[in-house]
Amino acid sequence: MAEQPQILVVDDEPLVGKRLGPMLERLGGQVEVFSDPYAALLRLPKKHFDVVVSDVRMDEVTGLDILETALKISPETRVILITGYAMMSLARQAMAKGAFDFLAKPFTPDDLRGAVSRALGSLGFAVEPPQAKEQQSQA
Amino acid sequence: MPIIAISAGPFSRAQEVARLVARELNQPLVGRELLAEVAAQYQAPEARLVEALEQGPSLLGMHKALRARCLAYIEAALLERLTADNLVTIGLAAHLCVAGVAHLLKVRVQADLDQRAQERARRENLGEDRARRLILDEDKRLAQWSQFAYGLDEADASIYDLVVGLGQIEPEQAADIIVRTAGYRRFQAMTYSQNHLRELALGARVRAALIEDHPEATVGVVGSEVTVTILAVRRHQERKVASVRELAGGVAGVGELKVEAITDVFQEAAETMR
Repeated sequence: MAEQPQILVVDDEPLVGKRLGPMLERLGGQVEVFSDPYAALLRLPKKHFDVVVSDVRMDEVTGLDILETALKISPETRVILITGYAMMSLARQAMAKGAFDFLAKPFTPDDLRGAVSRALGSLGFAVEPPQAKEQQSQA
Repeated sequence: MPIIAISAGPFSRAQEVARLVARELNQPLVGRELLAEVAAQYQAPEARLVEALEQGPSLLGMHKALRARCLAYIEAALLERLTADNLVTIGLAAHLCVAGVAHLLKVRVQADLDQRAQERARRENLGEDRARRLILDEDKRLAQWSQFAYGLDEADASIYDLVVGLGQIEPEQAADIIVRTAGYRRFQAMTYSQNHLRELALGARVRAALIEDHPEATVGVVGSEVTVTILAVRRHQERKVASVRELAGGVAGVGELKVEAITDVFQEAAETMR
């Protein structure tokens, strides 16, 4: 395991990646952001990622494809799916396929920080809980 | 672990199954005893709350508005409990009033009619034929109730994630099947389903706060943002909006509160014709 957690963010809406990248870097991760899901799919076999955060609904390649590929290459990778089209059936399908967590857009920064922190924590990374970080930055 | 909502017709030994599941998972079992808390919290007679959960529509039965109020109070209390704990619940209509929560495992426990009649005959010292007739009547009444209160037939297998028949297996084995199903990944809690449950709970608290004065109000929740929509004639709108603001604004967890008034054109037309 690398000392710095490796995080991959995939969302075909470039603005989302731009926002999520810096947020996750503040958790101590090294973050790669892809707005082209196909390029992200090609990147997965080349580098180990501890956490993958992916949108579900994208053209050609879906978040479920990213999930399946990521887990096939590295079963211990934690995949968090996000979507603006959340439904119970999709959420259950994602969890059954091995997603670590599932978030509906719009979500709060704390929701995502919490999910990623739990994912990293489950891999043995020491991550401050998001609220403690928030309080520090407010102070 | 998911929340497990167990439903069954009367005398189906579902209480026994629910107790076994709760014990196996080391989770609290929440059943009808919650109604005493609801009665104390909302100053509603417990007998009325039971009636709202059991009685179908009838000419001399419970008034529609009173039933809606009782169910709103029960839902608010139930959802509050569901957000706080992993638990097993039975007898509180969670399978009907909680929709779209991915980590709520809805289970129907089904015993065959002969078994149920024998159970009832034994407990109430009745003949089996009479017990069978009473059970059929009660099933019919409960089907009417669930259609009337929630627009669903609670005996319809398609509204459940799992249906367990007790015809050929013992309650211990039924509980084991439920516990194993609860372990499946698809029923585990996730941020989406926990947030959705919190939104439902907040909406139910707001509805419970409004239902006496504004029974027609509809409540929508996204995060902590609450939107209440009311129907009122124009000359009453300002007063009603202020009243909703006061009642809903005091509910714990409400962040931004929007109140929208829709003009009740039918009421206005009726008033001009007087």
